[in-house]
Amino acid sequence: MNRFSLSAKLFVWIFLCAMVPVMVLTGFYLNSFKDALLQQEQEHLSQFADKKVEQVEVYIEKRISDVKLMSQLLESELLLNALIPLYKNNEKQSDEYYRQEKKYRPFFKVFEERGNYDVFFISPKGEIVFSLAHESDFSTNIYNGPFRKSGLNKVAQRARFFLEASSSSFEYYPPSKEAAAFIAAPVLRNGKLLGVVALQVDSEIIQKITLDVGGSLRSREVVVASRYGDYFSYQAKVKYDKSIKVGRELPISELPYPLYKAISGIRSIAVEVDYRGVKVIAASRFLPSMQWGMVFKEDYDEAMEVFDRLLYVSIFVLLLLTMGALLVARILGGVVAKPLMNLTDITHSIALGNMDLEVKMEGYKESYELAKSFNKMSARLKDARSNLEHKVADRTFELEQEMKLRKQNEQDLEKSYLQLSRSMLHLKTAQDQLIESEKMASLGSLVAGIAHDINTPLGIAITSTSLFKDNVERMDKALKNKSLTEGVFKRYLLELHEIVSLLENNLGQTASLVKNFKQVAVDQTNLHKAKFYLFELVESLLSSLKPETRKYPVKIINRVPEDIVLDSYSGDFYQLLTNLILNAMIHGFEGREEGELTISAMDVDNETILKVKDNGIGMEENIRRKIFEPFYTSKRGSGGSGLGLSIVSNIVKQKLLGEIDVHSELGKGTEFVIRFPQTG
Amino acid sequence: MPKLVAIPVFVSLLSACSYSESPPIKVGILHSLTGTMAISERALVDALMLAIEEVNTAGGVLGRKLQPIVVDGESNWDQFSVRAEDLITQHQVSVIFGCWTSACRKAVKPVMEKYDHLLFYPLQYEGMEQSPNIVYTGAAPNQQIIPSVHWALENIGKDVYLVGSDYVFPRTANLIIKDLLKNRDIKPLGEMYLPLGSSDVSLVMKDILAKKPSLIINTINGDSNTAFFKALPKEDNMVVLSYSLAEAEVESIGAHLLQGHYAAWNYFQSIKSPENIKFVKSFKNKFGQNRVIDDPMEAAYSGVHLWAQAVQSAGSVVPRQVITALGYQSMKAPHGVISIDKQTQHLWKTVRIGQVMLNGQFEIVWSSRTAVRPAPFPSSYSKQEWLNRIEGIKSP
Repeated sequence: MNRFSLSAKLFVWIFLCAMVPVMVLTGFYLNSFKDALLQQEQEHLSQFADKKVEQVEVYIEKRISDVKLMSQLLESELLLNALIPLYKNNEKQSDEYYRQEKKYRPFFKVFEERGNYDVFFISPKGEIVFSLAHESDFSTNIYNGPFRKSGLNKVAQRARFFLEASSSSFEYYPPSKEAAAFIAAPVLRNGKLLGVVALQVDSEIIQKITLDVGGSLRSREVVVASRYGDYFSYQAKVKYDKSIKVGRELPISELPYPLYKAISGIRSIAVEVDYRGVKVIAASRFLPSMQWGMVFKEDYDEAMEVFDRLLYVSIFVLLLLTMGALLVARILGGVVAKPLMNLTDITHSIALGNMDLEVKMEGYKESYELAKSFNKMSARLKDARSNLEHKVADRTFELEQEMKLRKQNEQDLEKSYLQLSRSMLHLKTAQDQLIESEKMASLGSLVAGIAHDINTPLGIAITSTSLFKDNVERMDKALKNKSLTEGVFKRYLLELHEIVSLLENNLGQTASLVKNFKQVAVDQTNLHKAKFYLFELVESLLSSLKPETRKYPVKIINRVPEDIVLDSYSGDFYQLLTNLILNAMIHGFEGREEGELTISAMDVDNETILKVKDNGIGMEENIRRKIFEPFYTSKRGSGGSGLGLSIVSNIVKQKLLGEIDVHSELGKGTEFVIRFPQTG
Repeated sequence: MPKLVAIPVFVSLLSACSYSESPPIKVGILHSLTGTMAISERALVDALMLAIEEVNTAGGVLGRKLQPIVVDGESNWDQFSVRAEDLITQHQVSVIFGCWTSACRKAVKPVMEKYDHLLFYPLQYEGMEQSPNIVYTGAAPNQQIIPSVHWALENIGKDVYLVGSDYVFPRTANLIIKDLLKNRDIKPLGEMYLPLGSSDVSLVMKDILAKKPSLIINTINGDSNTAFFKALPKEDNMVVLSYSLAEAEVESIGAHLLQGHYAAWNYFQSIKSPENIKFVKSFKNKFGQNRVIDDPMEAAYSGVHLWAQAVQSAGSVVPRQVITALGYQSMKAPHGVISIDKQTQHLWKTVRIGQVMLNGQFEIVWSSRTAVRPAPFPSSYSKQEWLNRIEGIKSP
């Protein structure tokens, strides 16, 4: 939108705000007018159609009245009585017949003039004994003669048997060489049938009635048709198709829809398509006395001509208005745009740096004000511009200073960060060393215990060795003295046996101790993952710890099931169990004469739960909460490092990826529960 | 762009011309819901209700719905007259559909003429009447009796016996029939009347068995028919042509007693036209698959549609204007194309003769093919002559 000119924009707005509502309203009113016009035409046509039905019905009723009147006339009775005896079937009639006939002919001629084509008298046997027109049907038998299929037969039979007047519809009647309809009534005297009187309806008169359509529309037309089974025929000439013959049978499929409705007895008024395929407004009606369908119609286009004219005028006016709007938009756009264009030129120059130009103050009030303000603005702009340059230079200097300061700060920050991370590294190393030295310390205390245990058998071995040496020297001296008798020798030998077995026992005990210790020491430093039985690990650990645990009055029970196999770091288990057991020994039974410590384990859902439980003195809640904190100890004075349980917690959490929990109750004992995944 | 939104809103406001629900058109239904006639007349009320529902479903008339006001004539002619006046003055109905017997119609007729109102009467009757305020949708004598007597004489036999109930319809019918016979030089073997409602047929049967007619023309009405057909020996080859015996009566008397006998009507339920198939289906769907439909029901049903059509043409529900518009109205009724004859206010109707089948339906053996002009006064005599003759039989 932004790139459209002011004129175009103005046109669009004029069009939207004024033209569109006008057009919509025009459309709306035109549509209403069209509906109203169509409705009016339909009502009009309906009324005409009703009148036409009445006209035809009244015409036929009048003819029936004629026939009924004739049947009551004395002349009819006389004619029948006179002519029936004289009549000869299928032959030329006698002179006497013609003499008699002449008497009645003028009298019945009157009825011919009332719109009847012919007047017949028929004997009860069906012989046409009298006819005004004397066509080929005269002197034939209508019940069984050549014209027995005609409407005349039908109405004559009905008069004969039903004693009732009736009419037939128009069908082609060969004697008259055109379509004919008949009306007949019985001639009765005292309830006895003398004969039948019949009229042939003048088809021209029906045609005249159908041609009289009224109104000013050229296309208005009445179409009538009747149906026999699967055929129908037009009952009067149609206006636009000369090839259509009255009374000729056509297949029902060729029946136009409005006419079909009419023949089916359906009354309607609608816009339909007629026999030409032209759009028409058609009123469908049924004519009972002829059993005809009648369509009263006019061409839709002609009926709606007024609307079409109005539509063209409206379109022309709307077109003019649109052009007017275009013109107004252009002129208005020009007037408004001229000062703006001047302004635009000046602005361009200012933009190029020429600050000394001024806008000419001219045009309408708004453009004058605009120019004035613009000039004021450009002057101010000029002042502001020189001020601005100074300000910018000052500010740039300040900014540079600030930038330098910031850079300095950043460098300092980086340096302190580096120091910090270095100290972190030191700390980490220190922690590792601490853990390692703790490991060594526990190993050391183990070594001390082991050394003590080895000391006794080793002392006995040394004593035994010196005894052995002593005995050997004494045996040697006796040999030299020749005082070594067999009895003495045997006694020495027995003593030596005893000494050797004592030696053997004590050295074996020492070797076993060393072997166990070696195992623990190796495993404790083992960093590789391997499969092992937890039960055996606990057993060998307890054996290794024996020198230490022996000092306490506590019974240690291994309740680990023998079938639990772990695929893990055995060293970690040695370490954490050592720490837990020794921790319990040192802290758990202070002041107790006896106690029990149970190690148990179970597999639950891919997890192994390891429990170390004692029935010692327990601990207070505030202690329990802190025991896993590093460097926390209740025995600071007596050599505890405060790292034991912290290491246990680290091993469980970081190496085994498990959890450790502690429950404790004062006076009842403490339980450590460790759970860790089996596929650690 | 709020203006762009405003335009369609403005247009829709313009086009939404104030539309309000119009009040319904009241339509009176005057039939016996209690008493001896109730069994027949209730079925007519059902047929009328179906037609009213159809008119309403199609959008009503002049944009208004029809509202039926059903009142009970209690099988009492005086009550019918009182109720008719109620419907016109109290309920302000626009039209009345009602009556079964001629006695009822004759009781209501003065009320209709007094208020220049409009009654649709659905039964075949003896003719000889032409009220400007009644539309007769049933058959006139020439649309039932006359053609069927001719057919029976040609196809069944000429030894005729006339039997009927003793009231105006059978007596007038036989007057007309005797004219037809006289014209053919036939003298009826006998003519007997049973008191209305009597079931003692022994006397009639004795006479019939003695005379052995080949064709019995039966105008007996009501329960007497059951006794008559029970007493009639099957093997004697006597064929009965009845005028007051439709599907409903066949059902109550028993089809096995009537099988092979004939009846003349304009409508039979067995007509195969699409209009009738639809009519029968709608009726059964609404009132039950076991219900039968007969000529008076179809005439009552078609009357509602013709009236609605005339109201639409007249653009008014005022009876006088509707009567004017009724002239030459036509429609495709279940029994065929019907039109109103303006002169007589009777219908152009197709005549049919049916033979009772064992399933209670009629097999159509003859039809007039096209509709027959109504002649309430058969043209064999003038209107005055007929009225005199009717006077004659009333006081024999």
